[in-house]
Amino acid sequence: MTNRDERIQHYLDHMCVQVKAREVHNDLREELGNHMEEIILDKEQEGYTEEEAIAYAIEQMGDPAVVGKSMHRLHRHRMHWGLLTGLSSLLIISLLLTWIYTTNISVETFQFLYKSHLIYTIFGLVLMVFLIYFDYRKWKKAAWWIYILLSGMLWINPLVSPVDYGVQRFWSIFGLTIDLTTISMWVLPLAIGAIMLDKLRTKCDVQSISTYILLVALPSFSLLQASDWVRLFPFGTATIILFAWITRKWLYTFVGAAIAGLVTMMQLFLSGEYRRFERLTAVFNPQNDPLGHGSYNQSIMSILHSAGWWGNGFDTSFDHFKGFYMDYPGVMLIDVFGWLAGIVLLLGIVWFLASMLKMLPRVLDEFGRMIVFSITMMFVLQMLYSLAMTTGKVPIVSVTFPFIGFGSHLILEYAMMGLLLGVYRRKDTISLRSQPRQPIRTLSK
Amino acid sequence: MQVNKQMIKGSTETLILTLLKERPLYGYELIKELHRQSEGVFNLKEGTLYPILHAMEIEGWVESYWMEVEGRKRKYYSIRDKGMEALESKKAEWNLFRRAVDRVLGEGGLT
Repeated sequence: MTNRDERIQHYLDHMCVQVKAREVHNDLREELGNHMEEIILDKEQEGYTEEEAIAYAIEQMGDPAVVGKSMHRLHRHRMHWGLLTGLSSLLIISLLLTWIYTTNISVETFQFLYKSHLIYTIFGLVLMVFLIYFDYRKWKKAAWWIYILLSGMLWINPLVSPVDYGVQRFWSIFGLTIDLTTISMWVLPLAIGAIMLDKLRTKCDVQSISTYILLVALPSFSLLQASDWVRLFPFGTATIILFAWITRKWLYTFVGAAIAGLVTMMQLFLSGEYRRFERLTAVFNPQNDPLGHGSYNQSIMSILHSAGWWGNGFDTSFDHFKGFYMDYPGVMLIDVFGWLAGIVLLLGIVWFLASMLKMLPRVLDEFGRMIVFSITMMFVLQMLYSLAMTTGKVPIVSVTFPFIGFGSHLILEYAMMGLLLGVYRRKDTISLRSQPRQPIRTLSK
Repeated sequence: MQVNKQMIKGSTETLILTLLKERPLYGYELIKELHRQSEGVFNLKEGTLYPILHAMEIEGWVESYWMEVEGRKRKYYSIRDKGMEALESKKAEWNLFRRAVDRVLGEGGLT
């Protein structure tokens, strides 16, 4: 190493000591190091000796500690405290509701739910912390494998999972039960997006579009086979919206959505699944179907009606709704605490979703943006439908309330939140060096 | 004549954005260009320039990319739409300021 290199390196070392996020070091070193080299070359041409030129360059760059400190302030790992606060509130509401429920219900089997709820929550939080700290960009390389694994599992799903109310959702193997279709609904759009993002962005032609369609169609078919319409709809919707977001081809997306919708409708009728529409008619006419699906809608509406602004308190009849309270935590919240609490929850959820969406313009890495977009969209779909179900005015299906409703889906939701916060954490420390972008302005809109 | 540093500080971002509006530039080029166009008045220090550039990138005003030119790897910065908007509002701000100062000093011939 020459004297020149040594002195430049020495300067850069001093600067980098101040910058705690290591992943930006290389980028900073290269940029500022190159700059110093250019100064030295120019000054030497002007007739400076090497020694003078080096001294001039270092002088010109300024105190390395000061530069390093200002760089550290810019390139730090970030935590989205707003989202974390929202998440903590949801966690407290969730534990509180489960506690109220399990201590008040007289049916013994439901009294033990608190324990598993707590276990799911803790497990989810551990996973979330891991995903916040794990570098999310590594998932991109694993996208194909994740896709193949999940599609493969879905493919053999009919052979291994038991039929539960006509739906095959839970993959049981080696004594472990996995909510396979829910996992697929969350993870597969991310995997497909990760696989196709660069391909569709650089060359949106027949080949890449048909690859995308094929990647979506394969698991869709499996979800159809499992009769899991409740997971198929959000999956299909999410992948269609994701396609529009990646390609920005609105017409193609619209045509694709129309065809997909038509095929789905036909399939619904052909497979004799149209009885599911009964749930829809039950919404419009709950009195006609008091023992069928309409009874849920009717119960919800009568509970909501009786709650009033301040709720029925703890002496409400928890046995009225039995196990279903766990699926409709919003209904229970309103029953106990009243309409005002319901309105607060609604506003809180809207604010929570809006904060997720507001992350988008602040993340520069395209893969990170795709993750934020995909996860936010899925939470929007789930949460809005859950809130709608709370009013009793939409068909009652097994969409669970993220973070609040009971079930193993909690683990997945915390994991997704971890992934999201992990993207945010690195938003200011990712060097674009690893992904040389062409100076095309249209892509950066 | 030397210009007070405090006076330069407030307008550095505007100047950088104006230069980047013309074409993408790398750091060294930017400093030289600023020096040349201001006829030697603006002698921007590297230690000031880079934090500003990086902050503007995080804000989404500019974007950077590496390119190899003449055997040297250089990090170019180019302006984005958000940067254009920021530049417009900064320019308007500057014009307001300049007119007000001119009016108080009784110079500039603006009526």
